[in-house]
Amino acid sequence: MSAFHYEIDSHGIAVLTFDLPDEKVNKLTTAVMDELSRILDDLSISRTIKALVIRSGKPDNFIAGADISEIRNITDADLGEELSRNGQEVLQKIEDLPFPTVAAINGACLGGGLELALACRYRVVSSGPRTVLGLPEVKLGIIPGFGGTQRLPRLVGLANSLDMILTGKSVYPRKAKRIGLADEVTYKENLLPAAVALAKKAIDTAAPKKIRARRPLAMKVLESNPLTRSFIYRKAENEIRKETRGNYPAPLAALDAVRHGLIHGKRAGYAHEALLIGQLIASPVAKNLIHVYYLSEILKKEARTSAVSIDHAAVTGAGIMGAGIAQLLAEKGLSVRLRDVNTKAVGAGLRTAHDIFRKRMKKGIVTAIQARDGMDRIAGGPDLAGFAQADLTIEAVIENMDVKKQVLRDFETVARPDAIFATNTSSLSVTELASAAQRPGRVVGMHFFNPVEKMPLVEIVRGKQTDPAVVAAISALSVKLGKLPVVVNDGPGFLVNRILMPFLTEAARMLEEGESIDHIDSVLMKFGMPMGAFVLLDEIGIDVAYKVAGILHKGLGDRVAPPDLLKRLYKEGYYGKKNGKGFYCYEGRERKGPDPVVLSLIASTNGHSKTIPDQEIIDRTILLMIKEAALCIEEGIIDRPDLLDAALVFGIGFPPFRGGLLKFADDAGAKEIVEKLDDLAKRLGDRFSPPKSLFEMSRDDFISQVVS
Amino acid sequence: MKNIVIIDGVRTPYAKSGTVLKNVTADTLGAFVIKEIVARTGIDPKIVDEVIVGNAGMPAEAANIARVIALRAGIPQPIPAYSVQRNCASGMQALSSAYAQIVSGLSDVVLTAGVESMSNFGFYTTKRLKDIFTAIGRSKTLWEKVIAGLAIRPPDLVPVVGLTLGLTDPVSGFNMGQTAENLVQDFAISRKEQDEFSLWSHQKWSAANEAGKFRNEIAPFYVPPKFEAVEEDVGPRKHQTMDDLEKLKPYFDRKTGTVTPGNSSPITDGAAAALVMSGDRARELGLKPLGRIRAYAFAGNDPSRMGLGPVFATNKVLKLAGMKLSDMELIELNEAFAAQVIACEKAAASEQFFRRHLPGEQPIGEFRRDIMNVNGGAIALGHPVGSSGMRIVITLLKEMERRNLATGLATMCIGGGQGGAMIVERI
Repeated sequence: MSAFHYEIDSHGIAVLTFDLPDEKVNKLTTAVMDELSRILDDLSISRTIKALVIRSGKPDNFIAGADISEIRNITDADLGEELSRNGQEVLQKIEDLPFPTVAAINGACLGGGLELALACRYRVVSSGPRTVLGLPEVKLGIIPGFGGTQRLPRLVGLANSLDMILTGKSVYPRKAKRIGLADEVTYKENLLPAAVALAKKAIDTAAPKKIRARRPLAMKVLESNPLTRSFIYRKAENEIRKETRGNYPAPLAALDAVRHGLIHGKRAGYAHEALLIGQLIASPVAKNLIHVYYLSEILKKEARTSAVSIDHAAVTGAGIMGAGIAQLLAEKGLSVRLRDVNTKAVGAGLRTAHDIFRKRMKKGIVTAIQARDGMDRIAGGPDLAGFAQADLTIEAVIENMDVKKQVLRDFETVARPDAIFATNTSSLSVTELASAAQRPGRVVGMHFFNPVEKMPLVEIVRGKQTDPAVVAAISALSVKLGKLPVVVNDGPGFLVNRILMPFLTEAARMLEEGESIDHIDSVLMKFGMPMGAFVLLDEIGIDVAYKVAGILHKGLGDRVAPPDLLKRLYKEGYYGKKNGKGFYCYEGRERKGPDPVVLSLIASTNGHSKTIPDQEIIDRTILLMIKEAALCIEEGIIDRPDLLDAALVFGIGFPPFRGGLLKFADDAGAKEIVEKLDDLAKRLGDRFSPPKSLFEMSRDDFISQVVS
Repeated sequence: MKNIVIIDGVRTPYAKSGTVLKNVTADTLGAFVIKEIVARTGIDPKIVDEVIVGNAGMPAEAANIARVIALRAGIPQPIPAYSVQRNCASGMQALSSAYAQIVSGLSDVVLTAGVESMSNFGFYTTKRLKDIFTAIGRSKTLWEKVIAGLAIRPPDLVPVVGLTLGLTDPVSGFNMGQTAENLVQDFAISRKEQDEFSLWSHQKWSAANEAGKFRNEIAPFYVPPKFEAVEEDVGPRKHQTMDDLEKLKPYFDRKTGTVTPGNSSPITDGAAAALVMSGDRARELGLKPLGRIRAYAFAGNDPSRMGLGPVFATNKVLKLAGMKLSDMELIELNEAFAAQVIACEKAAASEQFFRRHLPGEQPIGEFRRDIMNVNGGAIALGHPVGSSGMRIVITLLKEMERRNLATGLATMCIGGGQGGAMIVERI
């Protein structure tokens, strides 16, 4: 069945509609590109067409990109290069059409989709909340391969294009207009008429040649000649190297493609782009990043749609987490009742939610009216008003079982029997909490990560008595909220914190032995962790980490016993970033160097310093995580290794370029891991001894279930 | 005859204009109280048949403020809404309209509110300036625009204060304060009497506030952008003294008047809401009502003496209900001005007054002070014009509940020369 159809009106304006059959989202598959190529050939020789508008037949997206499943299986760089060449040629046909072209964009316009729109002379964009433009290829370890690295800089200027291409970030309509990416922004219902009107106006005019971005004079000058442009390249390259630490080749390749085209001309640029993307497609990093992308898709698919509709929610606890959760729910359309012990606490929570809305409005993620509507949906008070109507209540009060049980009991005095009680606890047992309920089946864990508006993962914790329908309802809700849910069974630390803890405590142990904060953290960041162990400990809060470590110690045994150092720092009042006293020094929100007081504290017990080889630092921390992950699977906290990997990538930022913790283990091979663990156990202690499952797997390899 | 019940009512703290609520629009206040009453009564908004909001100012940026309020409060789109305006009694009108709609069978469940943000009453341009701007707007060329603009003269630039316009009766030409001065003349009311009455209002409010009596009536409002909670009325003076009152100068008649800002109700911002439904529906839903509306009446009187409205309206409603003023166990008589309340007291008991203005009727009797405005009145906590009519009914019912009384009367004067009165009962 055809994916395209077009009509020509009485004025000679042709409207070409792309509507991929049987798919919710338009993609540029090879078949689609072939069909498009044929159609463009037809259009180019038409005598009646004076202008062309290209639009999508989908209600909420333009074109979301190329077909990733086609790229996924390519291991030959030449094939990748050929794919890119073909795509470039087809899109070049759009640019070569003998009449003006306008792309009418509503919804997601990403990757190849944006590259297609760039090949058009003009772009009209709808102002709806789902309209977003971007070239996110670097996030998958590749670069734009359909000419984006050549067309975008010539349209929006070097700096703007590098900002988009090197980070893969999304651009919203308002910014798109500002940087010249969109020629016009209009509301959804007016999109086609506006595009047609623009096309009509453009008949018999030449294509605009100048860069359309509104740039400050300084930037214009900087970008206008090769000498000063090289300054921009160098700055970009330094930033990339600093950010990626050599772990992600794609941004450097993208920079190279842009630069090559600007120095040697467009034709050479296209050829170079194709060459580079060919190499990247076949690379292990891209494969791993695509694997991680599919993991996020699995998480969304696993959250099957639930018949339960959740429209009214009540949140108890108006602190950072509670207020953040309330803001998230309200932004996504739920009405929210926020409760805390007194009006001062409620007011603080409302203020937090309001500030988050304002921040998102400034970034262009929501409009002013959406922010106002969102705040309208949140009401609060110290009593239980509004809780009777709640379909769902989420408690985010302090980590104290008695307090939480009281919140539960209060809720049950007014709640409907089918209402769901979700707890945001990060360390207490959901099963234990549910035991205080009259309806334990309705109690479930819904563990968000901080900050709620940014962190994509939600751990959904099944208590022993939790009703599967409740798990399904909360999973479906998480997807509606734009989060990725992973369902785990109840256990100390659930999944993510349990695996993260040994990473943190082992780093602290190495510090006790005389290593330096700087060295350990930089090695871990070179490995690919988004922040070092001590930065993370400061962020989480040393007090929180210490308490959670204690709970895990009690629940899981001596292997996760926290080192003395944590206890000492906690007792000395070092709580981390929140009180300005942590492993690092803080000036307000800014982190300075390691705190010399902490270092002297350690030195006073230790007396000597020790340098541990980089590889051992990595082995000791990462292998303990692998061990803990294996135990999680052994004990049935979760039964799917791929979902475990997804949880760690999206929960703590485990380096996606490695494909996930257990994929990394897979690539290393169970045999090697068991050998290393054995060795470490002999030298440093029992906590390293390999778990049974790993030991057995060392015979055959540990198979991370790969998405099909 | 159907039982029409009020399930519960709630209000924001009332705040003197220009203070904490000055930047909160009327529709924001309204959406807040509607959300609160829905939350407190626990109903599913889907069962509501209509939303009726009383508002005097009718801000231009929220046309049909009831609809704006309803949608912002999350009331589902299919539920219709309309606004009512009976000047100072708009809040009571919302309740009356709800009553009429339910008793006639057109609706079963109605959400009502009375809202006003007097801080946000606008300034207007003179008509001449508006015409000049319109001419500028219509001119096609820059030159034409300039020529049109040259017609502006300095007097055109003086803004017209909306508040002043709104509080002046166009038919009689008197503003509200002047109508009070008229009553001072008619009934020979002394400055001292007015000040004493006002002091008493503040004292009663203060005692009630200390005793926490407003806690089940006021919903704490969190004022953006800092969201600091306001839990008490802002404006009433906890330590008002006669000295303070005596020092004030008359405001509406600078030379010989006696009505001062101290013995008048302050310009105020606030909102109140109530859930009204048929008694049968309340029973079905398992909701215990606060009380029922027994009867209500509005009556017209001389706009230049609008403050006497309560006498005419109370007379009418008592006849409608077949009751006597002495049957009322608790009374709320809105304190627009001390002089106006005192004038009502005198007129209600006066044979002479009735002979002249209501021939054939008997004086209704005494508005007993010991059962009137027992927790303070508008002189202390303010009179947001579109909201007071609802507040006095809610506060009346809640105090009746506290004292376990059966029958109460809420009555008020209305700018333009009317009175409103509502008899409520506890069931």
